[in-house]
Amino acid sequence: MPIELKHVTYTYMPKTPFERTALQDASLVIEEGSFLGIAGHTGSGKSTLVQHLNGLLSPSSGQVLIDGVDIHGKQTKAEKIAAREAKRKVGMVFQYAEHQLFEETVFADIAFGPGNLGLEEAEIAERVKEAMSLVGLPYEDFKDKSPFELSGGQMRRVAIAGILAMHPKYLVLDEPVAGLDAVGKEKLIKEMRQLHKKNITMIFVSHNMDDIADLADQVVFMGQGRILLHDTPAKAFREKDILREAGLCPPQMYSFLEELAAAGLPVDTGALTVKQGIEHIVRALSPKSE
Amino acid sequence: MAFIELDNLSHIYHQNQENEFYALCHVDLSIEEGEFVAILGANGSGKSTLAKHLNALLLPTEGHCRIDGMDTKTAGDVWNIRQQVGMVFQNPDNQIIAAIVEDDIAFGPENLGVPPAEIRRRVNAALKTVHMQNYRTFAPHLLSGGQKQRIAIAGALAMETKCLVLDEPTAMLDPQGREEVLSTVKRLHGEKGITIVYITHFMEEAAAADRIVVLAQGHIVGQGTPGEIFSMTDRLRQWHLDVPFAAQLAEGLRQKGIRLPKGIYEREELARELRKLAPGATDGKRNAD
Repeated sequence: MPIELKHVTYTYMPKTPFERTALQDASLVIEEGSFLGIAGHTGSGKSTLVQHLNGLLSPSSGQVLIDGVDIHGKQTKAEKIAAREAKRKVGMVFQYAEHQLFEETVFADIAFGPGNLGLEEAEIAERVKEAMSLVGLPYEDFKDKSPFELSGGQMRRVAIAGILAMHPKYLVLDEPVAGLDAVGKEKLIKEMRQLHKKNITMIFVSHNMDDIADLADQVVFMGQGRILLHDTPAKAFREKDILREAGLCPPQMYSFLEELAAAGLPVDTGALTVKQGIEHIVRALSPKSE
Repeated sequence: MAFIELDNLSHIYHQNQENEFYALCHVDLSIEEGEFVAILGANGSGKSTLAKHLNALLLPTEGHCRIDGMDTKTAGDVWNIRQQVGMVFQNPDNQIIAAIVEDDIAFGPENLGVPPAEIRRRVNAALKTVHMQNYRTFAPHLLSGGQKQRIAIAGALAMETKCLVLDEPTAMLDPQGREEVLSTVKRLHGEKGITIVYITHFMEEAAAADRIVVLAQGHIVGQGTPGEIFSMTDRLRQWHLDVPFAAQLAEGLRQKGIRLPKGIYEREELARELRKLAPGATDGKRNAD
């Protein structure tokens, strides 16, 4: 079952002089098991869109369905409960999530969410352990540390573990690698891939097309509050006009191959990652069997 | 004497406590007036600690930091130093204080007791320099991240600062905002000869500098031109830095037996070299097999 947005429009501060429609008639189906990258300029409506995915914002008009449950259809008590359960399936990791750490130990911080679910101590400890291993923080080494004495990358992984301990089926990450150094970034990207392999549907917002090309099997480009395109990366980056409208650049490898081809090197374009690009270039440079 | 001189400078957090920590360890560094120096390093390498010494927000635990000959430890010189060295930080929302753009820029000179007419002149000039003159009466919270950072830069310019220290000014910005800030910085350096100390995680931004200084665990571990630094791909990885796209691609191609010269880190250069290797290229060079 997917997450489904049906004609969602969202207006900030309606009926005031500051009224602004941040999301306009957005329809989108996020299939279970997909790895979706969302890209767009600042102010394009990306953050507004993702905040609808677990009910942080309620659409001004339109519907949000999580696994078939309308999360804002709150007529009866049973429907309300169903909506709450559905929203819990979607974990949300905000930009600079490490700013939200507050507990004295890593363990307590990660245990906070599951604690609120009213789980037993043993179950909570189990979940904390599991979540820490998912983000690559050795349990014994880190559980008693203060989150504030960790590096930026480690702090962010603690924040993500706190969400994972809630056992989300869908995980939404807003700019997950922003501000991390090369090593922190590489580790987190690897962990995101592993989470996807463990059947968590991944949705992430990024400015970095190289990261999107590297990770995602689906992309959404946003611009001026609208979904401009939803497709596979291989097809999406071919849409030059839409990219331009969204104020985005294709992945570096993609544009580099196009430049080579334009300069007369007989190379197949279309590669999105450095690894693929290397193969294309090697092929172009190999002497043809004559 | 260089404009900025760090002389055997160490900075120790929590000195004589259990968690004593050397953020900077016996650092020697000179930066000449008018230079553009980029500082690279992994998280926790000491970059921000170094930046904060340059206008006496932090004082050395050992050694000295001298700006234009003035020691930051001399209490009487601190205000003079801060007039010469302006700081721009990472988070655009943490450094704007006034409700109107021009008030924010005027804040520094007002505190110096500059006469109103002169403040007006400086504010206008600073806004023009960062290409924000049309936003003079805007509320800062309505600006984009890149625009806010340019306002922060204008605030420093209104102090007639000789040197700008920017500590990851683009880390929280989108690609367009990053481009706005970087091109503003390049222009200030090129046209006004302002000394730039630019801390960043983005290699393509560091490529704009005259010189790159690499920090790791509080030590200077590498220095050189962008070309020198970026061609050392193994060292870059050791230092936990990104390898620029062209250097990464060139390395991968070399491993596949494509004969490329060493030291490529720019796209244009790599494209040129690859064209030379193309089958049927006129100069007859081809790959090994």
